[in-house]
Amino acid sequence: MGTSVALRIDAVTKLFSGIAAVKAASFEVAAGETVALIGENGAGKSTLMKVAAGVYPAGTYEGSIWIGGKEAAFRSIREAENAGIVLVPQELHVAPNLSIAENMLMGRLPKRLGVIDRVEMRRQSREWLDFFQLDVDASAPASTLSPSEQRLAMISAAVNKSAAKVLILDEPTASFTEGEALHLFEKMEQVRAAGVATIYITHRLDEIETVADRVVVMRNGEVVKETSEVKGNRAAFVRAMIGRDPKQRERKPARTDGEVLLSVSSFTVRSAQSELRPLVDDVSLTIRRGEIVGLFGLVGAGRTELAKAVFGAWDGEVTGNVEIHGGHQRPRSPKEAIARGLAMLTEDRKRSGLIEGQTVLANISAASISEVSSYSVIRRAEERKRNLDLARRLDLRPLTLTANVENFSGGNQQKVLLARWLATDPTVLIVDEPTYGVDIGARFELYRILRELAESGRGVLMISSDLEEIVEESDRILVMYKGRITGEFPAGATRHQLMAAATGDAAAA
Amino acid sequence: MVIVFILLFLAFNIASDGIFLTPRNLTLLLRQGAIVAVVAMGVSILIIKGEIDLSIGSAVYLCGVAAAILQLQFGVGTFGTVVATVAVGLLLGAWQGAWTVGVQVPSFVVTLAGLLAFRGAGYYLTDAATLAPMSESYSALSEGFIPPTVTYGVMAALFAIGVLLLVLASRSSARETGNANVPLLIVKVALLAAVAAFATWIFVGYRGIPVALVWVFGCGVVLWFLMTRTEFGRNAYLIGSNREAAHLAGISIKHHLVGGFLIMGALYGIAGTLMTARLSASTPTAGLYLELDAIAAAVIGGTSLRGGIGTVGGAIVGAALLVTIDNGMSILNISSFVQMVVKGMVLLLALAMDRALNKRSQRG
Repeated sequence: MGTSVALRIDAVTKLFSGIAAVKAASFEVAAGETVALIGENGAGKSTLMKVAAGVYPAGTYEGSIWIGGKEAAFRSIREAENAGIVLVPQELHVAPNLSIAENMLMGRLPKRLGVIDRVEMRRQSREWLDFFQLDVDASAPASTLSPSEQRLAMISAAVNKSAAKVLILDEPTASFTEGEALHLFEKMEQVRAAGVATIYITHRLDEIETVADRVVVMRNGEVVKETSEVKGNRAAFVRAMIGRDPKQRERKPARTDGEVLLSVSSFTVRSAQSELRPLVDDVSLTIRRGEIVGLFGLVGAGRTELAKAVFGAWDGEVTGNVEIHGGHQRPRSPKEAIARGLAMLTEDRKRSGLIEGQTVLANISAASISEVSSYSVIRRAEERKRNLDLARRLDLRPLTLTANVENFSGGNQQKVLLARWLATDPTVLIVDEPTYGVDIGARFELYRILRELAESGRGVLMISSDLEEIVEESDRILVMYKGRITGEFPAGATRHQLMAAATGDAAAA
Repeated sequence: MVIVFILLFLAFNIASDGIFLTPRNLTLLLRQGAIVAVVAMGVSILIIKGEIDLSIGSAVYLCGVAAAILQLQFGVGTFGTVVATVAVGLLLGAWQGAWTVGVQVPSFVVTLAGLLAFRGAGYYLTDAATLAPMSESYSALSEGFIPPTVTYGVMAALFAIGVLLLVLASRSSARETGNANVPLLIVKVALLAAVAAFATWIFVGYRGIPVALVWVFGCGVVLWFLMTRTEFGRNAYLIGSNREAAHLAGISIKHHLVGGFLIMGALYGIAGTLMTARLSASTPTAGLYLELDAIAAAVIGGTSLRGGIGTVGGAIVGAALLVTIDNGMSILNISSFVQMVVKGMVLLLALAMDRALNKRSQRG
């Protein structure tokens, strides 16, 4: 481990309209060291890192940032980058139609005589891609990369474009599968070997042991724990993050013998544009009353496409049949699917779930407004009462219907969306990555709600690339690989079995 | 917003030596604003849904042409003409809705085409000539007045209804929060009384309530109810804020967009009627730049061009502000060229404010 301190954060406090998001937080990272920064959503991790990376310019916070022994006062992200601090944000801003090279060099495109030097641009991006052994064509559009490849490309660009001394990764693996995450960790080893200090923000405690030399835990804006005992310390980390002991959950025996509520048979889904192999290939599955079925698979396995097509929301070609609780036709639109008792919590909360700019009340009612209307006129008192009951049942915090949804934390936004679907009183609920970007406390509440739903006689299909979630919460597990279902397991299957099926390793499955 | 109005009123009144704040001028001002107010409501609904309409001026002109032709060449009566004009408006709305929703051409382009084509069609039908005169009863649709004696009764009735609504709203909010806010209710009733008294002073001081305002009031009440109390209105906001999420929540985007264009179409017809009645003629320059006034009124009234935010009432207030500026400058004998420049700047300022407010709300 390097001995020189690469970055020192000293008593940083950052206020947002008078409320402290970060309170006198201090810690340091040495060159060549990897520090995992963990904490619940809203603990102040991202805010603190944005202060360090110049997103919030000097003067808008208290305390100081020291780089290699000198105090830094960045006025912009560019200044921070020039000083060697690079932040790769959780939400990547990739322009899908621009080339990979252009995306990687964005803001620093090489120019000759004022015109972009394409040859030099390709050479540089090629070199950076090679650093991570990414075998892709730099002049192809960025949309041809998988999300994990995009992230790797952007990380390598971040490391290289300004001779990074400190690399800050904000939840890089949130949308990764385990395999992709392991790949990233190998690359991070390379970065570390080059003497770069890394701050690694994550929600996944299992990753920490693989990645980090030291762990810093934040809660309510303060650094509450700092330790280099990384291994076998998970329970202590969870306690530090949530400030109390996590509730133990009892597992009831799985029910997999109920009546069939949803039956999908010989289902094939193709994309609207291309004639390539189908995204979902001849899939059949059933969801029974009272069970949570986990659908596991790597990114690109076709899980989301399957769910969207079942829900009637797929633009491309779909063949095969869907039976919902007796009804025999495949739904042609989300509207029809909802009318027949299907509900789908979408994968991309911000893009296709939340209706930002509107109140919690309107967001909860979005799929069920006609339930509380007569002749299309909304019965307002009844709507408010119903939604308030739902919000209370899901423990929405803060409990208000009049605030706009964008002001809530990720976990509470997810509760609002779940309330939207509960309001439709669905027979079968499909949830796609239900706990993506949701902190630990809210995560357990979401599991509790899903379990309650199942116990009250609904069926739940839970799509996830979080192995822990799949193993812990499912009564039955399906695994997809390249558009096909490659394995079905009872509760209690091992991670090894699931991963093997998810990577097409037929011998092990 | 209230402060802006008071300042403008005072400034214009002082500059015009007291002509501005007379019942006569204010009545004319309100009547003048009726057409903009009617179409501003429609375009605010479209903007809330994330669409736009640039064809308003031409569409209103074409509706006016239809009205003039029906009455002058075919001798259709006043009532029949109004119904037929609204039908023509609905047809234009349906046409634009079909292209936007059915063929998926952006409404910006569809209505830009309408801006050209509708006026062109009107010129073709009339050889760009003025068609006049309309019958007296038709003209009265905009220019008539509710006599002062009846005006007292109408204003009193409206005031009573207003008080009733305020009391009911206060009751239901008291039921929710548990404590009745009586002082707030009294302040609201007092404000309403002041507004009603001021309006009565204006109307009775001249010749009564202008009929043009009755149209605005009627459209306003219907559309306000539609946008705040019905599924249609609720879904309009959801579609405008996040169309994909609304679709996945089972809302039929197509039906709602076509509905929006049909409402706009009906308002073309009503505005066309008001315009033709006002001039007692269809003139080739009628409705020129009306779309800009309408969009500016909607935005000044708080409608966000990014969709999902805005109110019908706001659009009416925005129209009132625009027409106040118009009227004030006319009274001061400012050249119409300068007036155009000023209105252009007001539009720019309104959009800049929209942007600034959005930025702030994003940060908060």
